[in-house]
Amino acid sequence: MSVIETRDLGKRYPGGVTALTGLTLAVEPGITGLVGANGAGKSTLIKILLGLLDPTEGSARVLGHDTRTDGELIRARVGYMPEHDCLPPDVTATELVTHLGRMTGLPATAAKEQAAEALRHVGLHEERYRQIGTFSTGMKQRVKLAQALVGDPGLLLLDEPTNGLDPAGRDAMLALIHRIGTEFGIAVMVASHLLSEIERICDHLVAIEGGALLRAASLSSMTQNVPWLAIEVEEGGDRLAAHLAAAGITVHREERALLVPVGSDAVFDLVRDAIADLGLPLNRMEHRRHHVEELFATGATRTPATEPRAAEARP
Amino acid sequence: MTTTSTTAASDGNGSVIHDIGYKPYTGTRLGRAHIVRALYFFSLRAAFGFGRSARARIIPLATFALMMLPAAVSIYKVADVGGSLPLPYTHYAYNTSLLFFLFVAVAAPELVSRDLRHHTLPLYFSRPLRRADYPLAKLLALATAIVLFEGLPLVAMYLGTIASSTSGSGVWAQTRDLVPGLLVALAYGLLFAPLTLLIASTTGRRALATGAIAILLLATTAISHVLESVGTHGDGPPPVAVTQGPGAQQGPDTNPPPFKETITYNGIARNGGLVDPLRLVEGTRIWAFHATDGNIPDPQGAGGLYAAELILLTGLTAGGLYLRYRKVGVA
Repeated sequence: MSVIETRDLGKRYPGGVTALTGLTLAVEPGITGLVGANGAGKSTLIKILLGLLDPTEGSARVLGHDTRTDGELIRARVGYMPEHDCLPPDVTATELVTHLGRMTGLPATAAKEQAAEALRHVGLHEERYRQIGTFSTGMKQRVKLAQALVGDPGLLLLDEPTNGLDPAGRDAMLALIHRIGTEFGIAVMVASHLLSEIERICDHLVAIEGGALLRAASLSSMTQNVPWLAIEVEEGGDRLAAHLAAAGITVHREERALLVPVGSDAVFDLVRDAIADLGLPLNRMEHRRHHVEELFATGATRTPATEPRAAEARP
Repeated sequence: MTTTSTTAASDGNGSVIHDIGYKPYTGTRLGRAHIVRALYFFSLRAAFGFGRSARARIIPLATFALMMLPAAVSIYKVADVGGSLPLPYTHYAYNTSLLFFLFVAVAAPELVSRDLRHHTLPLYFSRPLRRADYPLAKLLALATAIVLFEGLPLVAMYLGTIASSTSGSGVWAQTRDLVPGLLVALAYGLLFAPLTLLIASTTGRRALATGAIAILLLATTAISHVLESVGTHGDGPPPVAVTQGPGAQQGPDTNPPPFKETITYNGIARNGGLVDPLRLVEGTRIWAFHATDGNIPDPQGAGGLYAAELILLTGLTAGGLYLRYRKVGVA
């Protein structure tokens, strides 16, 4: 069953601004990335999914409930992590999350227990009696995640969860979201404008642009269609290129590396033998996959790989 | 470290996440009515600073303690000296209004400005609550807080007085006097809760909200007082000989009626109370109970106007508060 289903969803604001148009989606359980530039309609979509905003066209169902009529039921079972700062500094993490647990519909005692659980799951067990004002940005982001998590939601909507975090904090947050999506079994939709970031943890990706669906697919089908092999030699790159070309392989040049499409496993052997025959000093040989960003890029003029994906190989 | 820990992942902040498994929640989930009720009690406690820092409790508890003081003195006076209460139930609120202003100027921003300031509202509205539920819970909480603030001293005074009362008729008389006093407390709650919350909900800056509420309440009282003075004409101070005649020594029954300055009020004085919420309640009380012990000039024919404005102002400010929270951004 899909956790989110939209059909021809459209939202036109009174001023004449069209935020969403003809959006048809089916989001499966697992972790789904919602990608789009700022202003692409991500926030509008989230508001509609929470039943806080009525669409002007089409319909949306979340966890089987209609967003127009059953907003309350949806919001009782959906955890939402807002993009911006939303935490009062002068209460402890436990106080805040317990109170918000009650606001989700948990009885008093259960709210306390669930708040402690949620804070433990986000790694703030030790700090739970500290005032939020004393927290670092990373810890605050985790409090925001904990308040969304309190009461065991069926779906999490996370709006830019890595906002304002340093690289280490970002990795920790992404790892946490990945754990929630896989080990906890909670469906997660992560909205982000940084595709490179969330592609690491998502099973599915939904890209929207100008309020319309650009592409929706499982991540593997998007990224595993064009494997490349990058070869970097200390010297004699030209000789290697000529050698490989003679063997019938198309060779692309990328600065110091040679890029070779991996049509079959035989290509690996060919490359290995070529290097051995020529006696070249091999620096690096790595398997690269298509960066997802390029699949969304309209021009498609860039070289296929920008980020190394596999371990270095040495002779 | 727990023995059940299966994995431990270090994160960017040096703390360690121990995974001892995720347990889905299978317990009760309460509906919207319960959630509104929980928010109501949470806010009611917050109005007195409970559930908040010790500093937040200073003003509410200090003003409340001072509110109880006249009641304590009255109980002592009645028990020790006898006679009637020095500060009648119906005059209690009017004569302690400064304490009330201070209390409400701090409580209203505590309930709504904080959430605006820290942008906490999205966390509420992404939960089952509907837009109107939040201001409703806050409104009822502050109204209850005000009724408690004004009503508890009256109840204490009542209990203290009937404890030293010897006759059943005394108890009955006290009860009969208490009821209008409690109704005044109720009117305070109904009128001032939406009024002050509406002001507080316009800004996230608590000091600003407190100042705005205090200034509004003090200024309207001052203006009303000036209007009352302008429209009041007496026939001069009494001649000294009359008040201190020889009859004063002959016992209470033969006392000549004490001199009463004849004071006349014109329309300005009678209607001047309409600009002041405090006098609005007092004027309505005089009108509703045909009271002759008013703290302000008897509005006479304009009495209905006081009552009408009281209801209208309550309705308008409550409506304004509702509209205010329809417009609050969420995501």
